[in-house]
Formats: sequence, C-alpha cells, structure tokens
Amino acid sequence: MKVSPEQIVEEIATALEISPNSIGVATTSSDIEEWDSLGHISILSRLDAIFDNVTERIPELASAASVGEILKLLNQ
Amino acid sequence: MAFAIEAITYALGEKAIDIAKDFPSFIPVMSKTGIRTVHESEGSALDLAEKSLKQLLGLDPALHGSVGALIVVTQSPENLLPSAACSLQYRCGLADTVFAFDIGQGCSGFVQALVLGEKLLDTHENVIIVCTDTYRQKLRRSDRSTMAVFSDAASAVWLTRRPVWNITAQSHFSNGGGGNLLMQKVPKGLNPEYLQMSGADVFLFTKNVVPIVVSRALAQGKLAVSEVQNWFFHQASKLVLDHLKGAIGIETDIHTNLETIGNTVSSSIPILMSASLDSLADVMCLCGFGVGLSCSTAIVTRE
Repeated sequence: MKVSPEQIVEEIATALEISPNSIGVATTSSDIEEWDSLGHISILSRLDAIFDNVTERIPELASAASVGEILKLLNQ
Repeated sequence: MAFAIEAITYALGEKAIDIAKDFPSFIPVMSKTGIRTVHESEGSALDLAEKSLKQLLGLDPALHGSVGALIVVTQSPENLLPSAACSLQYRCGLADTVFAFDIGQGCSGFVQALVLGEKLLDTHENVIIVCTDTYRQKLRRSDRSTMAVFSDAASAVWLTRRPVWNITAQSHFSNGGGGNLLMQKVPKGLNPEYLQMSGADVFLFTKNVVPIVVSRALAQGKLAVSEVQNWFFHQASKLVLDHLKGAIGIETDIHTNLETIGNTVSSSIPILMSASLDSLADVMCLCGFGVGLSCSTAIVTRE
C-alpha cells in the first residue's frame, strides 16, 4: 500500500469534517480542535473504510498523533 | 434455571442537557455520537439507585418483603465502604436477610449480574439487579468526547423463577492490560482525579474484540447471527454501534436509545430493554463492553 500525502490529508480532513486546506502532513492533533478523542475515532473509522480494515493490521494508528505519523504507519 | 424479567424501572439524572443548546461547541460530534440529550444528576449514584429501586418495589406490594438477593452494579460508589448494595438495602428498607453485594464493573456489568442473578434464583425467590452510575461527576467539563456522551442513570431489574427465559450461551472477555485506556484513579490528595479515556484505543477494542466475544456466544448457542431477533448492545455511541453491526454482520435493526438517553454505562442495556420488555421475540443477545477492558455477552432464549 502506498498512500500519498495528498490522499491522507484529504481522508483525515473528511473524517474531521474540516477543509483539507486547513491541514498538512506536519499537522498534529493538538493543532486542531476537531482532532480530539472522538475525532481520532472518526479518522480510524475512515481509514478502515478506505484501506480495508487497516487498523486491524496497524493498531498503532490508535496512538498516532499527527498526519505525518499516520502517513508513515500506512506506508510502512 | 429458567427465569423471568418481571419489570425494569429506571431513573435518569434530573437535569436533561440539550447538547446543541447548552454546549454549541459540541455540535460537530453529534453526528458521531448519535446523542442529542444527556442527563446529569447533582445527587449520588446511590440516590439514583434508591429512586429506581423504590419505583420497582412500588410495582408490587408483595415484592418489598420478598427480595432474596440484591446485586448492585456500579463504578460510582458513594463510599469506598460499605458496599452500595448494603446501603441501598437499608435506604429502601429491605429485609436484613437479603443477600446484598456489589459488582464493581461498568458497561459489562449488567450482563455479568444477569448471569449471576439467574444462578441465585436457585436459592433466592426474587433477585433484583440495580445498575447505577454518575459518570458525569468524573468528567472534565471541557472534554467533549465524554461530556457529549455520558449520562447519569440508575436502573432496577426484577428477576423471578417464572420460566420464560434461559441463558443458553455466554462468553466473556477480561483484560486488565488495557485498564489504563478507560480509567479513574483514586485521588491521593485534594485534587480530583478525572475519568481518562483513550477513545481511539477503546474503539479498536470494541471493533476487534467485541465481535469475537459475540461470535463465541453464538457458536456456543449453535445460532447464526440471523437467528437472533433482539440485539441489546451497550449504548456506547452511534459510531461504535454502526461498526459493531457491520463487523458482526447484523442485517436487522438493533435496539437503540442513544439520541435521547445517552450512554448510561451500567444501565444502558436495562434501560434499552425496558422499552421492549413486553414485545421480545424468542432469541436475544445482550452484550456489554468497555471498562476493564471487558466484554460480556449472553444469549437469552425463550423457554
């Protein structure tokens, strides 16, 4: 699986219901109000739907705290 | 032993909070939680328990003097000791011969109490399970992930030996290794200890473990998913329930009351069941999960 930075930004923004223009690879959870505990669940749910239940294979996604970290885990 | 659930009563926290009106900054999460109203109590969990139990005792004049066992499920004890069950026995004036004890469990607690309560009917005529929690008193006011979800409530469930239902299968999961993912420490100084929830990790637990526990119970009961007519899941959040439904492969509607009740922790399944107690089909699945981490599932089949 190879995920581009643009794609992950788009998916995370969709999950958090915010504009993709408001986040980038360097964005962390503490930068965005919407990325709290429930927001993170929404991100995981979105990733599961797009990347075929990916959280089962990569449970570390639950503790990833930035867009870049999620991207890195997905591309490992 | 075959048993009947004769009645279920409940008491919600006296203050109904309209999330959109009272916490406008929480509006974005409502589509995920599925919760529009939560209920908050200024009293203790024991106060709510007393209210719900007195409602139940008021349904039948003969019940008050014939309660054999009282199980209280709570993680909101008013005191570290004595037990909430003993305090409740005294407050409600139940006989001092009652077998009263607590189960210190949260969202799995009702199913665990039901499994034990059914066994206690062998030796006790009427068994009452009271679930009560006031989680809102444990929350940081600024934490929308919990403040927009949890409600305070108590419920009382009356079990008798009338042969209506059997617990035909059960499956349990307990893993204290994940205990820190949903935790409230005992305060050691003057500062309060708030409930801490790692929502993402708890979500992965429910997504990855709960379907397995349910599958084990179904296999033990030699049942297909489609043979269960009534699904009563702990009302965690809409997001979690939607995922569970998909992961287990449930194609029918499941019972839910999240929108107006919220997540009432130990009372969520009894309150959910109370709405359909008179119209249950022949096979139901009760599944509680959460703090522990834990999950308990019971398949209950009509006699």
